[in-house]
Amino acid sequence: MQEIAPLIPCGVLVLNAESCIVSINPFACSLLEYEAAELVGQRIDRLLTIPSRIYFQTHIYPLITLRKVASELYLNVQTRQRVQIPVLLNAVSQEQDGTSVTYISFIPVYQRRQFEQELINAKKAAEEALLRNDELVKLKQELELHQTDLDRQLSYMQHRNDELEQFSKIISHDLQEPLRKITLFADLLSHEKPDALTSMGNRALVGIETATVRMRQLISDLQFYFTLAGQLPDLVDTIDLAKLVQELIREFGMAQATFEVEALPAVLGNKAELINLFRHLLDNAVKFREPGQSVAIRVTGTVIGMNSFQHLPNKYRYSDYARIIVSDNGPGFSNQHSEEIFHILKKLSPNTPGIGLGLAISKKIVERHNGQISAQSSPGKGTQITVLLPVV
Amino acid sequence: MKECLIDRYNITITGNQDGQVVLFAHGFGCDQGMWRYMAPSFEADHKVVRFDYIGHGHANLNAYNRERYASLHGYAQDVLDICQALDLQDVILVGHSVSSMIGALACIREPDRFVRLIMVGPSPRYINDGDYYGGFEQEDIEGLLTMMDGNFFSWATSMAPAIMGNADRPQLGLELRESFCRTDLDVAQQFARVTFYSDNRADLPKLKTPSLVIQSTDDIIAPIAVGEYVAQQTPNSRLCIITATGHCPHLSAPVETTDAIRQYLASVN
Repeated sequence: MQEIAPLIPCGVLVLNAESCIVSINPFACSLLEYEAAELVGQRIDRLLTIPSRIYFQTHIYPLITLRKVASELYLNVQTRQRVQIPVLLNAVSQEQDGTSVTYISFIPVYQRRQFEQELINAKKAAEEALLRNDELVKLKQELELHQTDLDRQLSYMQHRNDELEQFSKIISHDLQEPLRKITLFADLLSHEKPDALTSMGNRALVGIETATVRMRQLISDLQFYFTLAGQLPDLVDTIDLAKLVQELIREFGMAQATFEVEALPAVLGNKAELINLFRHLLDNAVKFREPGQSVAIRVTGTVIGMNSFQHLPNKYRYSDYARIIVSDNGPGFSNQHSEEIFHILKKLSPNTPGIGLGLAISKKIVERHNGQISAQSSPGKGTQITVLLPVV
Repeated sequence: MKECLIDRYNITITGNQDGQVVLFAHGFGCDQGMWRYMAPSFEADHKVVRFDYIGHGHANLNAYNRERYASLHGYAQDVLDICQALDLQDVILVGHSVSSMIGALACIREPDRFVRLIMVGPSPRYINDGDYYGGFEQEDIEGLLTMMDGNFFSWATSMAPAIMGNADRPQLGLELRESFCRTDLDVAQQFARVTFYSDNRADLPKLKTPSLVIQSTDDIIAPIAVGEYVAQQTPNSRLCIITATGHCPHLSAPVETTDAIRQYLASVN
């Protein structure tokens, strides 16, 4: 056997556990234009093209280590002059004296490779055509399905829109009118002589006045809420959120609250609406603090990659969103209410100020910006409002 | 939901069920079999969770979605979905190769879920870019994709259960039937594209989870300069250079790699 080893017409390499060359046969040496002595102790990478090095590290080495055997693998080796040679290789790995040794044999496959490449190209072209066809058929089905859905939704939206328009009319005229009258009559009463009303009558009058002020506020908030319909207005700009939040914080100068604002990313949006949004969020944190106690409010932000499809299943398009978190150490609430707090006129506690529109308006603004808003809270542990807005 | 995901990602859970969770995420080119030499040493005191990405190992190939996996974010979503389904908290996430960046994206998305990120051979960008040295040029990556094509014929056999005889080494028979490193060619090529063309340099400063970079001495895929870059650009990150060589120290030097992780965990706990 010993005397035919130098004559074997294929390359033979022996590697140690570190993938360094232990021995190499004459066929391989003359193919690669090296002397054996130059290569012994070198890593196998020396003989591989760069793509082959990646392939060896990510596929062949794990395969040989875990399976102890690999066969018919295709690689490119390179000669001293960096000429590429396509080869097919087989490898086995064995434990010897407590360390693993890998035996590799390879043969050049210049012509086979050409034929194979043609086969692969033809197969790819066929597959691609098939895939495109499959995709088109699937898209067509989806499209048809969506068209029906869309049509149904359109008629529903049309109906809702009519209702809203009527509602808006009711608010702006029909509700305002009796309110104006109540105010007028109450005003008349309050201009009576001091002793014209009993003390009970005077108290009732004060009650009527307070209730009408509240009613007016409610109507104007509702009106604002319903005018915030449809898509974002054309007026969008790159907004520096850090600056915007810092400016808002000045409005709370007198409040019992401390603020901490991190560097926040810039987003694309309507400035007036974003001011409105963050004013509501900060105001909520300040307003719902433990009575008599100060509250610490933190605003932090990062850019994260999120799937921009929110409703369609199995549809993905990852894009960058600014995630802004407004957190406080206030009284918090049970997390089971974390969705309903965004509902219109929803108040978790009747004793707190406001009418329960702040978060509903916030949600509407965020959705108009193609974003998302969510809350996390637990009693005694504070609240965390997370806003996702598309970045520039 | 839980059972569905266990099947989808071929999740295996071993070790101490009450222990802290170590979640192992494999890199490009193989499957969870890569962790077989390291997992046992964590099983005594940790709950060890391993899985295969879709199209790798025994994960459910039908769950592959081209759109989802056109971005590393889709893979990060896999990690987060697994954590959510299994209700894993205070997780030590160990990612090899591209799973280091996938892990970083997952930690940035849900910082409260992960306590430590161990990155084995990470690279935020493989292709050189101006002053930045990643180690590769675009044509190298194209060459890799062509080479993967060229292995289509052997790929077909590696995907099928191994049937060849090993009369001389019967101890391997069982392992062979497990057929390691099965990957679907289309999925693998797509994964290669997403991996090698990604640029996650801007994500590193966003990572708040304390992290360890385990860097082999001679790794042509993620050279030392790249490991240093990752550790420098990431807040609260430590670099540990080990004497092991190559891109798979968890295979070539499992003990040294395990020790590096254990020392790091002990020093920061």
